[in-house]
Amino acid sequence: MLRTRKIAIIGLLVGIGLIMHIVEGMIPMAAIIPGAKLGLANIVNLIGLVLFGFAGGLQVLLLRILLGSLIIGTFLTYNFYLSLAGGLLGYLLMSLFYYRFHYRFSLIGISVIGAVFHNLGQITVAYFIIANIGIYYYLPYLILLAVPTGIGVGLVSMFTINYLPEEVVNSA
Amino acid sequence: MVFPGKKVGLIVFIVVLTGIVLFSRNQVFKSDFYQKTEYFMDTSVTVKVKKEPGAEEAVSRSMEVMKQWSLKLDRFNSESIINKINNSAGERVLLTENIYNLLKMAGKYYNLSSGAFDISVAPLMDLWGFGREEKHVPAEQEINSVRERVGLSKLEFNTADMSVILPAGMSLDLGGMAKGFIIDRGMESLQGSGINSAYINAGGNIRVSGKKPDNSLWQIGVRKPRGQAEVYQDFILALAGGSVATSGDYERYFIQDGIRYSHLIDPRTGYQAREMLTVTVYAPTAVEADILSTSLFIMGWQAGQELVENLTGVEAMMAREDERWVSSGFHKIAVFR
Amino acid sequence: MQRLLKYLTLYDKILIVSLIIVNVFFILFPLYHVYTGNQDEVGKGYIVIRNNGKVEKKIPVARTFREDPLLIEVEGRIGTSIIEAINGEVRLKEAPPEDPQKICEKTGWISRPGPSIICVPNQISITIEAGEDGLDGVSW
Repeated sequence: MLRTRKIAIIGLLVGIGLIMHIVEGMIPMAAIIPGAKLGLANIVNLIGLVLFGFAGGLQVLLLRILLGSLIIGTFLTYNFYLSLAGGLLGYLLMSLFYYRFHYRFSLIGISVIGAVFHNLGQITVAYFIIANIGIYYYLPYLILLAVPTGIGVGLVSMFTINYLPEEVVNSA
Repeated sequence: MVFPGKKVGLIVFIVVLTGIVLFSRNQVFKSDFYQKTEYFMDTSVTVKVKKEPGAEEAVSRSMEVMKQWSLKLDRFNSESIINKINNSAGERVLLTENIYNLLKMAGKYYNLSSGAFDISVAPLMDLWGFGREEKHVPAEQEINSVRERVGLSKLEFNTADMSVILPAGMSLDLGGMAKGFIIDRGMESLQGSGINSAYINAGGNIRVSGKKPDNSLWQIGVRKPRGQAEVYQDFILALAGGSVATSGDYERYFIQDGIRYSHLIDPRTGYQAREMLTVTVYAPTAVEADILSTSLFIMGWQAGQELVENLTGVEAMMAREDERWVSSGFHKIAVFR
Repeated sequence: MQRLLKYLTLYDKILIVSLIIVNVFFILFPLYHVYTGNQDEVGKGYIVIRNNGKVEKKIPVARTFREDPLLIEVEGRIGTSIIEAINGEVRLKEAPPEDPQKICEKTGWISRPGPSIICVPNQISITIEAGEDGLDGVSW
């Protein structure tokens, strides 16, 4: 077990995730549907999950959200809780499907599930903050958007993992 | 947790979808309008039509027609025909048939209202600051000198070549009729596109065509002149065609030393018409409703009532501080409750 | 596209297709009564502004038919939000500067029950809810 290598790769994934997080902020998806995002950062969570199992992917997710919010300056604000809730719910469901139905769903399907539940988690937390059921009006739009972005994220993850050198994949 | 077989999944899926259809069926039939709002003529313009194929294009075309006309009739637009007439005061200006007839119509209502409706009121509006300047109360002398440059009877019409001569120093402002005229053009465009259930609202002037898609009448509220822009609760207008316009001293005004000065200036005196708070007029076309609501407001309680009762197809409601009057046929277009 | 289809398993396809069908369905036929009681026409009903979950202001839509916009300031959790209403439409004009993303400003105008303006950071939401007096328009 090459512990150093694992730490380095997780660090790398968090770094890439942060960049994606920031790049995403430049694309004004929210102008089309309030709250909409591309979900690019999910790529690194998914890769983390595949390479290092549940715990490894969770580390990538939590570190990315924590550092991301510190960099953008939303740490412990509502935006932070929204990201955390969406990220965790999406990740938990992805793991569940990945381990239980691995041979039924490809990474694309798992990524779509992650994207859908990410939105569901976010909106549910937003509902508890705002206490207005009307917020769910946007859910179908968000989920519909999550399908193509989820497919995209799944494809990228799939290709990335396919082209990674053997020793990286086996280092877990 | 095993993914159910294909058949079971399909059946569950169909059952769920059917359930949702039944559940929301009532809602589906309710959304039967296509509507669009744009901002021009210094106000918002809303067009609402029955939702059907081609409705969207028809509404865009109608909006475009109205925008073009609003540019043509705006005296502050340097390209407009009204601006041209005003800038060539003292000279002969050749007009298209549309514009010539529009000015003729203004002339007709100038006579009908004994000078209360006067599109040559522009110099007075400018003096009071209802054009583009700061609103203020002018000195009496100023008003008297400006009044000499007001009076549509001085506009010379020549039907042979469809031209007019506006005496030097005078200028025209179609503010009292342009909205109505433009709404009528918009409605014409919609009807030309084969739409027969439509509603246009431009800054509170409304014209409807036909009944609503569900075959009920269009229900129009009238704003109360005082208070926080409430709507009269004891009656609503119920229309299947025709137009309503309202003129009130609350629309554009300023308050100086505790006195309200509205934009409804009597061209014959140079001062605000103060007898009434609001007038709502129903007429077959929007231009008539627009002109008459301004005219009646300025003509006043007595003269206004006489004029309405003498016109066929026109109904009105007038309100002053402590009483309200409705014309004899008003119940035909309104539902009291 | 064909390559993409090759990567997808049968369950992937079932998942994606059912997500699309269900959500397109809900977009076409939103469950208005769940959100607001009933679908309604423009110009009816009330603009409801909620602050921290409680209804702070309830303004009849008819009151917004006027020359100049109705401006409402609401003191939220992190600052003052300015709400603008005119001619049956309402929007969040200005979110407080403390709001990093200002998603509610970007939502733009709403004029019927269904879409809502949601300011999560400031805990403010704006919806249009159905009311009693069913008018198609107001003459003013």
